[in-house]
Amino acid sequence: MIDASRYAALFRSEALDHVETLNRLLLQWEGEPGDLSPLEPAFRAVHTLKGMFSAMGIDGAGQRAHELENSLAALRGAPADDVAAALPGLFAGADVLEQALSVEIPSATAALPAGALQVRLRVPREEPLPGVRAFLALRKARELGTVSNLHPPEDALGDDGFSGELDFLLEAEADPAEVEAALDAVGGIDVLTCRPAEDAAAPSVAPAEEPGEAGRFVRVAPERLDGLLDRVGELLILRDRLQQLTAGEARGELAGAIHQASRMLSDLHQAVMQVRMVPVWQITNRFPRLVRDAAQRSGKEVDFQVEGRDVELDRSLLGKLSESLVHLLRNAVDHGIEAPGERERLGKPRRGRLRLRVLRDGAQVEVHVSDDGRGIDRDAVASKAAERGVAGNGQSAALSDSELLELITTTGVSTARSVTEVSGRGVGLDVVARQLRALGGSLEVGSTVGTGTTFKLRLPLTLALLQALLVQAGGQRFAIPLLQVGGTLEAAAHEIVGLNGRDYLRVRGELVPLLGLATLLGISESGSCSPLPIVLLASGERPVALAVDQFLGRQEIVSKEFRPAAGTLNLFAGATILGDGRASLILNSSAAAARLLEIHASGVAAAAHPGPASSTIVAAS
Amino acid sequence: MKPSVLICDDALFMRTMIKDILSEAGYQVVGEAATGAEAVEQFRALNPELVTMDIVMPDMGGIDAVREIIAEHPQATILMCSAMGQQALVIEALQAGAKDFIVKPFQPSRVLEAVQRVLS
Repeated sequence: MIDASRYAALFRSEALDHVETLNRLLLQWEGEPGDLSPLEPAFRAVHTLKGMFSAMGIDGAGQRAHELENSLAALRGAPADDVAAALPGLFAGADVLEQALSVEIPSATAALPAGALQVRLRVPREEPLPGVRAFLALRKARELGTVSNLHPPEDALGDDGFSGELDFLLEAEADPAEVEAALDAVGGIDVLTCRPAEDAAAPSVAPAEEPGEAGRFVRVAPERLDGLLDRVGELLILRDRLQQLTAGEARGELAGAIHQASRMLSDLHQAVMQVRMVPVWQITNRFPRLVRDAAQRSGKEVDFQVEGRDVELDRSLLGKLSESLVHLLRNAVDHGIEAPGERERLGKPRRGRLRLRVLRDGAQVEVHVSDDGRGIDRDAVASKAAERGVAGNGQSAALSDSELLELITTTGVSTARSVTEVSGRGVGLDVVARQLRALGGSLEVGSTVGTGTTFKLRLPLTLALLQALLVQAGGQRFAIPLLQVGGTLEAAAHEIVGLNGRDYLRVRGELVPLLGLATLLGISESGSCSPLPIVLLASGERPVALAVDQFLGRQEIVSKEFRPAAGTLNLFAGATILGDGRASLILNSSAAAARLLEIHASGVAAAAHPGPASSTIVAAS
Repeated sequence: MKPSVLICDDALFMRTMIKDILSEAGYQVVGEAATGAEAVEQFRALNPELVTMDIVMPDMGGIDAVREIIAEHPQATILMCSAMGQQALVIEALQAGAKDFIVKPFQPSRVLEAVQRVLS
């Protein structure tokens, strides 16, 4: 009997592939019911799933798969009308199979009956016909109770290849000593083990490693990849340390060797990062089905396309990005795209257009979600915001894109007509914006009433290794990922402008909100030396300026997993260990910029309260 | 009184060997058979406490004879005699109702061990 739990992880990922294929085929078929070419591949996918479910002992799903097979078979040579009528049932069948994948696959040893004994026997080498000896022992065991988990299986006993060892579980009334004596009396066997079986602490997820079929893909457990990257990260820290220790003292060969090691490490790091890169279709493949379902539920007709499915990004970003995109897509279908009748009246094509584009722009990934729906009504947003007392004075004319974005991503401001509409939670863009910021990314919106809306998401390609700017503020060191730094400068006094108690920096004719980093973090009042070192943050929303005490230079840093203590301001993206062995916090620029703008909006006085950051910064190590 | 034994093997030589081993240990050899059919007949007539049965015999092989005997006498105690390399057949015989086995060439001690085991 196969212990199914060992194969759980591999089963799930392969089965999921087949379910995705099935969905893709059904969607294709729905578009052209008269074209029967998806039928056979769909049938094969279901057939394969049926076999897999049976092998894993998930009989219910195996049955459903069988029924689905029959439904498909019945459609061979069928006219388009019959196919169209059958498709909802086929989609429902695919869903049932997908749900079956999240079922717990019970470990074969999990439900151990009380009093089960683990028995292991060996037939000594000199015994003739060892298989028969083993068989006699097995027969005896069966007289004593119920035998299960037999290794090797019974029909292997008659083979020449039988190793002489036999083990099984025995549920017997008799106690271990009695069982052992009885088995021993069979003669010609040694009882190696006869004791109560412990609950196997069998992990239900096996690291699913498959030899790649010549040159295709290899499945590797994510934990192993992370482990690999961690080790490379440690090596890089060590390299920095070595460089520091030998700086100025290394001569000739030692310097050369360190230099070489350094380069090789960078190469190794690149290689490992490559391994972690995963094409974005891993998350976007589910979207066509999702969009179709949302459209059906809200009575819309939507033409959905994905571009750039092969763009790769770090696997650690996939989960959160997926959530955000699902949110945006649902919103576009529910609130953006108009009903077919309305669209026709407006002179638009009946089917709404929804596009998802993924592009790589240097070290960033951009994702655009655009629809040709009704656009965001700025007036409505502005008055809703005023009504809620959130911000503004109800004047919509002055709302720029970024101001609009700020408002619609504020909790409580939703222009959905009715809260009971399909998504059930209004627009929910505040969640999207928060999630993106947590990843060190940003959100932009562009919208024209009557024409449509486009959301742009930006994400750094990788999280783990960063080029960072080191700065000193309030007596502590911080790292700011270079990606998010728009520039650095030293400001002369006259470039700093005070308005209404808030400071601004004059940059290229524009006034940029300015605040000391130390003040932002609440660790102390920022110094006001002159010239004032300033870091410009440009993370896509509004540019902001952070004043620091000192620039400490650039460095490549390894971002380490960071569990902030409760009460920490969530302005940090991680922590790192610098060359001198001391820890430093990494600033999450988008979050910091957002906070800066908040402080500015509510008055600088709010920032005077020393935040909890002062105690927490010490705790992070 | 020592248990009665029926010896079944198509080779006289083998039958003689087993007979000698068992008689010397005090067992009573009450009959001999050279084919499966004879084995079944003899069992009906003699109702021995123990039967030694060869696997390959003409006119009904040992396994079939085991089946027939067990069908009529479920309590019959039958010991299979097997050559090397007949694992699957021996298992089949055991599944048909035989109790244990010994292999050729015979070692007296092992034969007696096996006999004691099945009769206890």
